[in-house]
Amino acid sequence: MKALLHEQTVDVCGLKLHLIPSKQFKTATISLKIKGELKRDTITSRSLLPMVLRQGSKTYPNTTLLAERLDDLYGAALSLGGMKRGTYHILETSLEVANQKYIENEDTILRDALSLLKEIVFVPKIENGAFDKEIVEREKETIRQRLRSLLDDKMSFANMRLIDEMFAGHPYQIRAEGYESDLDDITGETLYTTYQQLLQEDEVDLYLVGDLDMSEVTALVSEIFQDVLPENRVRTTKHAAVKENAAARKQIEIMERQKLQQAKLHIGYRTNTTFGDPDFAALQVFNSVLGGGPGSKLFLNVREKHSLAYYVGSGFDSLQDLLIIYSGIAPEDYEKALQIIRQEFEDIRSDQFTDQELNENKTMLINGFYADMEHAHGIIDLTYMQQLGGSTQTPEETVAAIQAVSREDVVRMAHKVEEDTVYLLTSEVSE
Amino acid sequence: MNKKEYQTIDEVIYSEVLDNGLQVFLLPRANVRNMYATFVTDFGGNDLSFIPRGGTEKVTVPDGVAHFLEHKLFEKEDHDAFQEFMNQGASANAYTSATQTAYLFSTTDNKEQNVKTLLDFVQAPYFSDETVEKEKGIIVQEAQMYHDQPDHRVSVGIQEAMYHHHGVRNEVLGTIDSIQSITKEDLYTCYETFYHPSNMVLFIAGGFDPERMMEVIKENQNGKDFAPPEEIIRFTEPEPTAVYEAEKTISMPVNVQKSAIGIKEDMQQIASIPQVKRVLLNGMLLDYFFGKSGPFYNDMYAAGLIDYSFNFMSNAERDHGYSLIASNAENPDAFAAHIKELLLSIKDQKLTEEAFTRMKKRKIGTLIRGMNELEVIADNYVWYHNRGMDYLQLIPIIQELTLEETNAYIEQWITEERIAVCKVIAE
Repeated sequence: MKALLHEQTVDVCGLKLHLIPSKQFKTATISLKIKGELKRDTITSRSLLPMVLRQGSKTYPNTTLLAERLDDLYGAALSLGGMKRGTYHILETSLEVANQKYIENEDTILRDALSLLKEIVFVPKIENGAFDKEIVEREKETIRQRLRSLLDDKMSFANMRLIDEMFAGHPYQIRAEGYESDLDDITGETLYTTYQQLLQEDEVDLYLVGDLDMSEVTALVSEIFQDVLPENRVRTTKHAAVKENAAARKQIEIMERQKLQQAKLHIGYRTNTTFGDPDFAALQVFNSVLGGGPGSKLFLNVREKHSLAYYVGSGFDSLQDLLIIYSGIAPEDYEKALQIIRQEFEDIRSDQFTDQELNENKTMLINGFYADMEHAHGIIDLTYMQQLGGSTQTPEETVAAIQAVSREDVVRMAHKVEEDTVYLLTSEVSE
Repeated sequence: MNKKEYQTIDEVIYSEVLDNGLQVFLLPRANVRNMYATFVTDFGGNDLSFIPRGGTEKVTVPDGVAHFLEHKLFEKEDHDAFQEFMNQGASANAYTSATQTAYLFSTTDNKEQNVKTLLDFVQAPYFSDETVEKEKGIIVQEAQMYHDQPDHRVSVGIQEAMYHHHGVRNEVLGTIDSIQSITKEDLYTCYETFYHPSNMVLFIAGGFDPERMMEVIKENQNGKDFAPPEEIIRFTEPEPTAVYEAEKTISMPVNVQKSAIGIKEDMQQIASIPQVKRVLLNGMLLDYFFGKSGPFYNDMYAAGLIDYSFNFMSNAERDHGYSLIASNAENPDAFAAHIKELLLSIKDQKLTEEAFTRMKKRKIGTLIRGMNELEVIADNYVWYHNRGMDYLQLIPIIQELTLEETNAYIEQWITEERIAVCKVIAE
């Protein structure tokens, strides 16, 4: 059988180029990732940077000109943002353009797209050693609004508060979106310093997925990206996730009140397992049996059997020892929901699940994995995650590892995962 | 089985209307492991008044029935359809919009069996008093979840402000009271009327053999008895052209306030302009004027009137249509007043040839991007088909649009009486 993935990599111009040729897409997807460690003193600047870069480059100095350029590239989709992956912060810029072979008389879309990506990230609008003051001030307001509106999204608020509690003092606690209290001290100058430091120290990866030719792409990238990164770069090439985990606490309960209709019950667990560990596949299967989807124990019991919630499930961070069970319930159902959730967890510990549940969840995971591999961003996320986790597993090996997970593995994982913090966000008047 | 080739975009669609009236479309793709199937009925949250199958009198069902029915269809007397899909390696879901209900799955395994499961579970309802009661707790929590979301509240509020009577005014989920009042009988009435094969479309896209798949579908359908197709009569009260209320305010505990502006489409234009042109022009013009490359965005952003959340969309349905422009707003009134002023200035603008070409390029690129995804092609193809259009032939239609007709459309696109505002303010 054909291999699922042909990733070719080459070091060029100080960055690592990854090409994944695939005939299944009508577009070319380009994704540039700049990875640095999560630090409390730079996070707000790092969060602000993509927003400032998005406002225009040296050649396309405002959003109108930049947007017109994207329109000329047949409505190319540009996105810039920052994200947290374990204890790293990754600044990601991606551009998706139509493959020129579907449009008559077009043969420079890929070249133009790569040039535009370079312009946006590496040739920003800088004057006198600073980003444009007006733009920086405007984007600080944007961040302020974004941080405040996160408070209105109760599900993400509950997750944020839970992580605050579980990871107090640990780098993972740092919020990728930044902090409102840092904003006053950020200027065009300080932001430029952060930017230069990131070009000097961060690891840069460029991914291309599409019906593309490696030698052509390598030639284009070497030409377009020459001189964008400093020559004497200090690359912090720490691959494995930071594993200084705090010891699990035993069942601490935190209750907070706001004016709302639906309470959010989120429970945090220590998995003691991350991507690249030998029992990572067992964690995936355990999570799936517990709360991975509509066939999971939590869904079937909390929702279908007891009608307590519309949404209930579980999810984990591949690069951090964290699993969260989340649910939206009526405030008065708190005790009952907590008791049922804990019981479902205990049932897996005491081997109370059928072979059918086990096998179905394994099949679901494998099918989901195959389906992800048919999306350009799914392919990029997987290969990048492998690099972050320091894993060299092929897709075929990943599938075999899930297939090999036994009942005993799942029970062992259920014991390895420890409850840490119960967080309840509930209504102001208890009913 | 008909075969239609779309050469410029490298796709082939096989189609057939079966004896029982079911419209089937198959879009096979080489080198693809995944398969996506969607089974859609032309029945959604809007459809509340109609003549039930076999009846003669008009009935009106409670808000939220279509969505309730969607939840309950998965539950069978002795099993759950979600579970059955899972046994067969598929991941299933469903959604209800204002105008349709869709049941769908994607899978890389047991493709034919999963298609049979999809057809069988949707075509064999089992509703009991007990299971209907039990579902209310779940749906009420779904409604409560949305009630706490300011974005959801403002999007419902703007529909209520724009429309006097039309069904789109009602929340698809219904209200807490209407959900509580739904009975097993309501579900059966709607089911019998709207889930006849002749009111449904099956679309399958991905890696499979089309000849074999069509046989499997036919064999499954030929083994079931259906009454002959009947025309469905639905009732909507005549909707005035002007909005119901020009301004609506929702007060709730928020950290960030919001504002949405709705433009209701002129009923006469809806009757006189082909739907495909309304769909394309509303979308492209909104994108041109309010997108990041447009004449307004930069100034509004620099002035702090809008932020990253600024968004717009349009929906041109058979018997109604609207465009929405919304954002977080420190000052919702200032935002609304500014957008309204811009909207009213548009009728005097003429597009240049250059702007028009750019607008077309952008729309074509967006369509091609969407076609990467099996789900996007399937969902869109069905939506357009049910409205007499072909999603895969939009590109040539866009290329043929003329500057003259577009400028003529702009002249009558927006009038003041058709604009409404909805604000979410901190209580």
